[in-house]
Amino acid sequence: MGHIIDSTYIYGTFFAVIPYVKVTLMITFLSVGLGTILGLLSCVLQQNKVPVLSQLSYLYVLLCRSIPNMVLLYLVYYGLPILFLALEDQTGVHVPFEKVPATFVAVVGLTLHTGAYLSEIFRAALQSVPKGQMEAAQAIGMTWFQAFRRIVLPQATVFALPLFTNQFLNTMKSTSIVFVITVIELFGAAKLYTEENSQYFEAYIVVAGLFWVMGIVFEFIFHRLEVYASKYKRGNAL
Amino acid sequence: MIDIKQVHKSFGNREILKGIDLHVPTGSVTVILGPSGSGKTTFLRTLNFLEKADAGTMQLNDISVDLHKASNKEILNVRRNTSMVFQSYNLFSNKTVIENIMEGLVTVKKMKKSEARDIAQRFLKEVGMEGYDDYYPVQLSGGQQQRIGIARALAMDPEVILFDEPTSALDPELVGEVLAVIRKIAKELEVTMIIVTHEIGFAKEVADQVVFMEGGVIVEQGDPKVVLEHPKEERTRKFLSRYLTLDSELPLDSAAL
Repeated sequence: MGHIIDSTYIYGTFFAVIPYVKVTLMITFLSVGLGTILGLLSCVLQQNKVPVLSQLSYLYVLLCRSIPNMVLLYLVYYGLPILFLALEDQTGVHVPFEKVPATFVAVVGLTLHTGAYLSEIFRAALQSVPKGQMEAAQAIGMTWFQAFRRIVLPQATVFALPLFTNQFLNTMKSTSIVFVITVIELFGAAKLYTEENSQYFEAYIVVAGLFWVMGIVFEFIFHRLEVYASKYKRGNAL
Repeated sequence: MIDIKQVHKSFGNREILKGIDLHVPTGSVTVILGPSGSGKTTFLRTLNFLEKADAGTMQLNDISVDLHKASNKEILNVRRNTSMVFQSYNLFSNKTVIENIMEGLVTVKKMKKSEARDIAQRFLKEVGMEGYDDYYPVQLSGGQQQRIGIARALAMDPEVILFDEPTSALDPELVGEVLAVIRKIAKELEVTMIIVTHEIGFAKEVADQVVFMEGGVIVEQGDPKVVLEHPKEERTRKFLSRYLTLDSELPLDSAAL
């Protein structure tokens, strides 16, 4: 095998790309974190039928779910400067968009994408909680927000976690396309490394290996979380 | 004292409540009877705004509200002075028994946890569930869950407790233990109660006032002995004859307590 797969090249790629794992992780955490806030907000606005905002949320989910991730990234990448220019035109406020790092654009793009999917996941999760839970909480005088945070959300979380894990892994894997807007992360770094010599398989097996490791670690963590959060469904050992 | 005037409610173009008036003196028990679809539950739910009435007013001691136009602040104020016991118990599934009772004391009444725990334990005892502190609702029978539901309502020290068919979802052999608890608190504690139920024998025993509803109006009301034994209205008589043949006079002083 030694002469078919070049193991020294595998080591070489490994050490060349390993620093970029943190770029991949950073973009993933930021996009999923912000996407969670956006998704939750969007789904609560829709659930409570807040005028105007609920329609806007619906439109957001509709638009961001139905175009390819990469197209969305390009739209943000090329659209953001135009938006800033238009802003300057209208208000005279200059935003130094040439200094906005591409990583920021990547996070915005992936957040929009992730938030739209999470919004639907959260909607299903909130609907899985019986209406009586909110009613009982409100009947003892809790505000809507108290009841939501302390009673409904913890129960919806248990429903949402497996789907959320899916979306987390999806977003993590989607980071490999931010290369198209010049952000160098794990995949991009490997691609650049192979360009010096054409050992593609060795380079991509390293990329795959690192994604496998990250994916399995996160699956394990989320599984533990799920077991913890669903304790009330099994009851206490007595 | 609760004084309710002219409650109206429609769902779409079906009129469910056609102007209900009710007066409940402090510390008394009012039982509302009536066939399914008569609007009993809807009426009860308009009182704590789980359903918004189309019109009507309520005087709850010194609180006076419009049941249709109340602001969020007024709604919260009414809810903080009333409690509800639900047909399907609605215990918070993600909380243990003791946490269920403590929840409102801590988040609404802003009590210290230790203080709330003491109160919660007292009411657990009151409903015959001491020692069940750390059970989750999923581990309890329907009757046990409903007793916790009653403890949760009582612990808030409300001016009135609204019971929405508290035994209708229970297996027949569990009805007795829940009725026994309600009977006990009706006798021992000076709590004002409005109870929607189908248990006529129970109504006769605990009620200070019985209200018979049908088709969105109060057909007849008054002393339980009079209304239940010598009803004036034909509709009440018909309803009672249908029920009394089914009413098996359960052994209400359950040994479970």
